Amino acid sequence: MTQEHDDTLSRTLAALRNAPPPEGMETRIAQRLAAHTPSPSRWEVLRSSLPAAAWLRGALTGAIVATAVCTLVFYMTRRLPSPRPHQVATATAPQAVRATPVTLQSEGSASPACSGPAAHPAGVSHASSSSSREEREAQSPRLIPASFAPSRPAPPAPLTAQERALVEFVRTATPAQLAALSPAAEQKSDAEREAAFQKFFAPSPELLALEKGEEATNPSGDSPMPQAKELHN
Amino acid sequence: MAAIGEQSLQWFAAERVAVDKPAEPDLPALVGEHSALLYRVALSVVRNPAEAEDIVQDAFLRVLQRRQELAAIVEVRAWLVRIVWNLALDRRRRIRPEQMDEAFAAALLSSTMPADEVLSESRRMAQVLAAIEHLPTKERQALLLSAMDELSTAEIAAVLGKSESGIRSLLFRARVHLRERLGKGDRR
Repeated sequence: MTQEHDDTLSRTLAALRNAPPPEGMETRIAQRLAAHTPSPSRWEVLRSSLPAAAWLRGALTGAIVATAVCTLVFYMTRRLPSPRPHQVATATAPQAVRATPVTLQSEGSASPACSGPAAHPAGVSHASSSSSREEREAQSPRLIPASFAPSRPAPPAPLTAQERALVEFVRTATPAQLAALSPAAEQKSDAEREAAFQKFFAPSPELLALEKGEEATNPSGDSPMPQAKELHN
Repeated sequence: MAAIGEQSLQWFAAERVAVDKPAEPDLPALVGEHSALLYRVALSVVRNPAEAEDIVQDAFLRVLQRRQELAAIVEVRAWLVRIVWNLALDRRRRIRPEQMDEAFAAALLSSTMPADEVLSESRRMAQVLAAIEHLPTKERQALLLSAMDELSTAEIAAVLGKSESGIRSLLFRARVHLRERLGKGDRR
């Protein structure tokens, strides 16, 4: 009985195994595939037009990528110059620089472009420590539009000690003192002073005549007016 | 249904060997080479010639949609069988193949037997097919795939996602269960 079942099972499996496909099935499948064959995409057309050799395609792709990268780098470097120091300073702490210009200048070696907190003057360090957000904004790409802005004049240079003294003098001196600062007026004043001196100390003609008469009578004698003689010499 | 072919493709792509890429296979050649086997695989599941042919056509349409990835498939026959197998299982949920077992068996036998023997033999074969239907799913699937002589145990294991020893074990248990079930049917 078991053998009979095994035979029946084998025959059934053999019937499944040997079932012939319907006639024309391959043709129908081919027709259906042809009806559903999509048109080649642009990418496939491009791929088919490329050279077949793999190394040549790789070289071509590498050359295209390298050219694109070089072009991009070239335009980036030309269109985005690095911001100037005074522009960075203006962008980082404009309020501090405007509020305490003399303080910045009096610090001497401390340049406004210095960004370290130790190098900052009191005003700048206050501005930077008051809000770190401003620093972050200043370092952010917002600076890039600022770099395209038209150039502004540089901040005023620090005054020397002589210039500060002159400014103080101009503020406090009288008009006459101010007028004396003119070179022409000063020359004129010097000339007048010299003339007055000469006029006061120069020997008179009578005195000269008297001296001449005494020399004639007393060639080795002392001058009756030694002071005048010395002054004259 | 759309996920079936995708799963099969992923499963086989994971097993591909890193060797030189072969040229893209010719699809009409694939049809001529594998369509008969695929038809029998589908027929063993759905037991309806028209449905089986439709399944084979659907399978090749999926292959056509993914023909760029076909070059990466190493075991093309096992991959095609898996696609057809999944499509047939999906189609089987909508039909009831056991209702036409006797007619199906008669159609299978008509070409090889005289007409007077076909009737009795088709009844016995229908009993066997009904007993196969009552087997556990994995045993039934292993048995039906083993009926195809072209498929090796390794290929059946690849289609069902089992090891080769697991397939042998399933086949042994399927035959034991079939004998038991057919023996019970005789006692009744």
